[in-house]
Formats: sequence, structure tokens, C-alpha cells
Amino acid sequence: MGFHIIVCAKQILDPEGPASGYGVNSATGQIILPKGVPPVINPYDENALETALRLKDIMQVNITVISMGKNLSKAVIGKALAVGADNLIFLQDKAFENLDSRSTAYIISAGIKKLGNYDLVLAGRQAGDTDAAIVPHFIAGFLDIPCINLVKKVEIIERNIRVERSLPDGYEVLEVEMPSLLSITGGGDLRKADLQQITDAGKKPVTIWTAENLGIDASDLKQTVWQKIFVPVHEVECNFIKADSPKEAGAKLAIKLREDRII
Amino acid sequence: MGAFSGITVFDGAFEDILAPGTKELLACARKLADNLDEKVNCILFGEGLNESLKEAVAFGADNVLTADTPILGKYNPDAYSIALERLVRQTASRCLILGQTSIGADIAPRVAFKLGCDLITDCVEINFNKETESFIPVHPIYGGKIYAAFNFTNQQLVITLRQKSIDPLDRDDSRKGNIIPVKVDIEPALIKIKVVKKIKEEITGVRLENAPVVVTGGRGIGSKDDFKYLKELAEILSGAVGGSRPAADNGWVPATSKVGLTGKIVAPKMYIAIGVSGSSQHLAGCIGSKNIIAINNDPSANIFKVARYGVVGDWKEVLPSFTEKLRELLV
Ligand SMILES: Cc1cc2nc3c(=O)[nH]c(=O)nc-3n(C[C@H](O)[C@H](O)[C@H](O)COP(=O)(O)OP(=O)(O)OC[C@H]3O[C@@H](n4cnc5c(N)ncnc54)[C@H](O)[C@@H]3O)c2cc1C
Ligand SMILES: Nc1ncnc2c1ncn2[C@@H]1O[C@H](COP(=O)(O)O)[C@@H](O)[C@H]1O
Repeated sequence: MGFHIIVCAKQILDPEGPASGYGVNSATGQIILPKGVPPVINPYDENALETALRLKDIMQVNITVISMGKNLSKAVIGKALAVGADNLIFLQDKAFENLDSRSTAYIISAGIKKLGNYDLVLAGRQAGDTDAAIVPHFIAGFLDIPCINLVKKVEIIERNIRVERSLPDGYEVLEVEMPSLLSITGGGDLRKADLQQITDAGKKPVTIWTAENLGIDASDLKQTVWQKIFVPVHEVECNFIKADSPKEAGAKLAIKLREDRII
Repeated sequence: MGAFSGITVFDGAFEDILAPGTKELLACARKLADNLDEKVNCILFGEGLNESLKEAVAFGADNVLTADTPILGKYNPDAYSIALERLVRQTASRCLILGQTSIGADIAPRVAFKLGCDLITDCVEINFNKETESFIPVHPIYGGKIYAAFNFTNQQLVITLRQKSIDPLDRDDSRKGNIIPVKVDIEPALIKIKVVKKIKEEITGVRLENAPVVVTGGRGIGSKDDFKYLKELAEILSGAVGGSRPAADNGWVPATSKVGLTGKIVAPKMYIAIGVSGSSQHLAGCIGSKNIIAINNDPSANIFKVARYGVVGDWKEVLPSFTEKLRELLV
């Protein structure tokens, strides 16, 4: 029969984009997001997907990717189908925007419950926009299954999951039974799809479930409310060391640090 | 605020040592509790705790609660979250603060979910508005490109605090506090996650977290072998070597030496960033440094916006003469 693995993948603005386009609209107090920064799959969710694919490489595994949002793009998340995911589910509704971690997890867990059978849920360690690292724990809470975070390696032994969890001074090995949820850090970059796979993926359907399909009452959902947002100011005046050659600049830097009593 | 009172901090105190991070949590809680005229509770788990309990008082706790039970001797996410939830209910704390550490970031969501209360993780500040009696935690979002301040009035709250966001109080052994042993019975059937073993990856030399000088290499270093030049520099300065995420992902430095939002938070006297562009996620881990020094061949690199000293150039040409001159100056 094999295993059914669900991977949670969030669509976000490329977090590697420059800081310059981010700002605050002084009239509304709302966030200004940069133009021209493309949407991507949250990088840690790509790691989660790659983790699932590596399990699929060695055993019989069916992968469903699930993504929640208001405007999800098949061009972005569809990449998951091209690299080897079997199904893609969009939990999409105009009510699914700017929600707090609990509501987000509530909707995703409703989607997972609707899917029914699963053995393992993988999520990213944190989303590059919220930087919260909360949703995976809360999904597990709603599903009432165990959760392990910061996982960098996964092995399936019968119905046991054996993982390595990153620690500041190494890692620990943990075991838990299926079904469980793991939030992934690392575990390898997502593989690339070839042209044929990309074409084939375009033909695979995407299932869309709305709040109504999930039996969710939009008035139960809570939005993230900020008291205030601001752009942090860290900037200092840089003393650029001027010299005739890079070699000389290196020596002059050392002298300057001594003069200024930094060393 | 009705039924809830007091600020509670939680941490592990393994080998009976109060971690630097726990002292930071106590300083943060003390400030909030003094504003409210309420108590600071400190919950510490571990086995055979004694000195660390007294230390918690000296660093700001009014009540130190400890459950000296073998099941809590070592970290287990299930056992810890069950025990902590019970103690937070017992103390009816209005705010629970943990560190944004491998334990705090794991336990906080579990406990907040069980309590059904709000949770803000990875805060760099927790302010308090006396008039409205509101907590205002500040959490960087979008990798630190934007900071978001939240407002919570009259509700129970769990917060995790980023490491090195606040200085600990000075140790004061004349402070009085109560050490309260509590009993927590946990039914073994509730423990679903088994911790099999822990593997320590020892790094020789100065510990990154405490080093007075950190020399960090980024993608611009180009290879593992070339990190030997950074090690040489670090040794001269009695410092430690760190890496950006690409450096860690490529195995040029150990994973445990990654600096940044999802790595270590450092705040040395001198942070030397070489071949590092200065992404917001990287800066999250080093912006508290006293002096950032950057060597980068791109004059428009973001790192120069936060660096006090900068050299524009190929590090392969700049670094040897810098190291040599330092060696000369430091004899
Ligand atoms: C959720 C999330 C969390 C993250 N967490 C972290 C984290 O904890 N830590 C972290 O570091 N990153 C983190 N990142 C990644 C981060 O966004 C950047 O991708 C990363 O910091 C870039 O590393 P870098 O500066 O080494 O590489 P690059 O951005 O590629 O910069 C390399 C620099 O080297 C310079 N250079 C090249 N050759 C030379 C030369 N010969 N001499 C001098 N200079 C040279 C270039 O000009 C360039 O500025 C995270 C990202 C996300 C989305
Ligand atoms: N809208 C979403 N759709 C799918 N997965 C999500 C969504 N939001 C969060 N997640 C998952 O939860 C992880 C952590 O998110 P966060 O708690 O917001 O940092 C992400 O890396 C995703 O795997």
C-alpha cells in the first residue's frame, strides 16, 4: 500500500529579495511589499518536499502537497508536481488572507482531515514571511498527533519514524509512531524538474477547497493584527579603508582598528 | 487582569547550570513584573537542581518552582510540555516567557496550544503599556526587514524572546525568593516521542556564542579549504569562526556554526564578516555586535550599511595582509 505523506507548502515572496522594497504606508500603517519580487515556495517547505521525495525514492510513497492562501499560483506551487508530488490541494478562499497562526493551522488541519488517510505530515521549520515557527505545532495540535520540530533527517522503519533533530551543539535522535508531523530544517535542496516533467505537471489537476468545502465558518477565523509595524534602523556610517591596493587596505584596516582601540 | 497574575519564565537547567539565556529571561520578566507590581516565577526543569535555583533568585526570580522528577531530568517535548502547562495553570500566570532556543521554541507552541492562548515567538523586545496594562511584544517578520509590534490586553499570553535581546541583571545574592519544589506526575502513556540519544558535535576552540570576536565567512569564501585563513585570523584574536547559511549548507563550517535568524545569535565586540552579503536573515544573528567589520568585493553589498569598518576588495588579497598586520600589532 505504501505511505501517504502530506507536505505543507506556503507561497511567499522570495525571502532572499533585497530589503529595499519593504516599507510602511504611513497613512494606513500597513505594510508595503516590494514590487518585482517573485512568489516562491517557502524555502523550508521545499526542504520538506525534498525530504518526502527522498523517502519516495526508496519506498512506496504517495505525496500530497497542500497550500493555503487567498491567491495561490499553480505556476509557483505546481513546481511540486513537476518534481514528483502526486497531488496538489489548494485551500483557497478570499477569507484565507492575513490569518494568524492558529487560524492558518486550523484551516490546514481541516484540509488534512478531509484528505483522511495519512501517515506523515511534513512542514517547513518556519515561513520566510511570518518567521513564526508556530503553524506546524498547531496543525499537530488540531490533528492530535505528535510533532517534532527542527528535523534534518527522516527514516521510516515499519510504522516508526526515526529522525535527527538539530541542536545548537549537535543533534538528537528521536522516535515516534505514525501518524506524526515533522517540521523540517535542511534535508537537502529541492531537486530540479526536467522539461518533460514540467509539461506533464501542467496537465495534472489542482484540487481547490474553499472555506465552504471545508465546513469552515469565516467568522471563526482571526486575522493577524499589528499594533504597529516599522522598518528597523540598524545603519551606521561605514569607515571605508582607502588604499592603493587591496593588500595595503588589509594592513591599514588593522592599523585603524588599533588606533580606534577596537583591538 | 482578573484571574491571571505574575510573569513566569521557563527553562531547563541541565547539570544544575542556569543558562545565560535564562538570566536574560529573568531580566525581561523582572522589568514587566515591576511595572505590574506582580511576581516573577521561574520554572526550572532538570535533575538534582540546587545551585541553579538559588541563582535564579539572585538574577531576579521571586518564586522558583522546580519539579525534580527523573522524567524531567532530560528534555522530552511531551513530558516538558505537559508538566509546564500544568504549572502555568497552577500559578495562573498572565504571561509565560521562554527563550527562542531549541527547547523554548519547541515547548512554547505546545503549551500555548494546550492553554488556548495567543503566542508570539522570537521577540526582540517586550514592552509594557502601564495605562492600558498591555503587553507589546515586538517580533521581526520578513526575515527582519519589518518589525511588528503586537498588543495584548487582558489575556493570557506566551512569548519567546530572542537570545541576547536584553542584558541580564547583575547577580545579587542578597535578593530573597522562595524555592518551591512541586510534584508533577506524568502518565507514561502520554509520552509519544522517545528521545533515543544525543550526539554532540564538539567544536574545538572558543564557543561561538560567547566569543569576544567572531570571524564569519559567507558564500564569497568559495571553499571549505579557504576557511583555514579565517581560522588563522580567529585564533590570533582569540575568537571563533562562524558561517552564513550557504557556508553551513555547503559544509564549509559545521551546521552548529551558522550565524543568523535560524542559526546562532552572537553579539561579540568585533564581528568580522568576509564574503557575506548581509541579508536581513544573516544580520538577525549578528546585529547586536559592537563593531561589524566587512570585507567584500561588492561596494554596494548590504553588509556595508551596518559595518563600522569596511574594505572593498577580494578577500584573498585583503585578508593575508590584515592578518599579518594584526599579528604584528598584537605581539
Ligand atoms: C527563513 C530563512 C532563514 C534564513 N536564515 C539564515 C541564517 O540563519 N543565516 C544566514 O546566513 N542566512 C540565512 N538565510 C539565507 C539568507 O537569506 C541569505 O541567502 C544568506 O545569508 C546569504 O549568505 P551569504 O551572504 O554568504 O551569500 P551571498 O548573499 O551569496 O553573498 C556572498 C557575498 O560574497 C561577496 N564575495 C564574493 N566573492 C568575493 C571575494 N572574492 N571577496 C570578497 N567578497 C566576495 C559577494 O559580493 C556577496 O556580497 C535564511 C533565509 C530564509 C528564507
Ligand atoms: N498558508 C500555508 N499553507 C501551507 N503551509 C503553511 C501555511 N502557513 C504555514 N505553513 C506551514 O507551516 C510552516 C511554518 O509556518 P509559520 O508557523 O508561519 O512560520 C511553513 O513552513 C509551512 O510548512
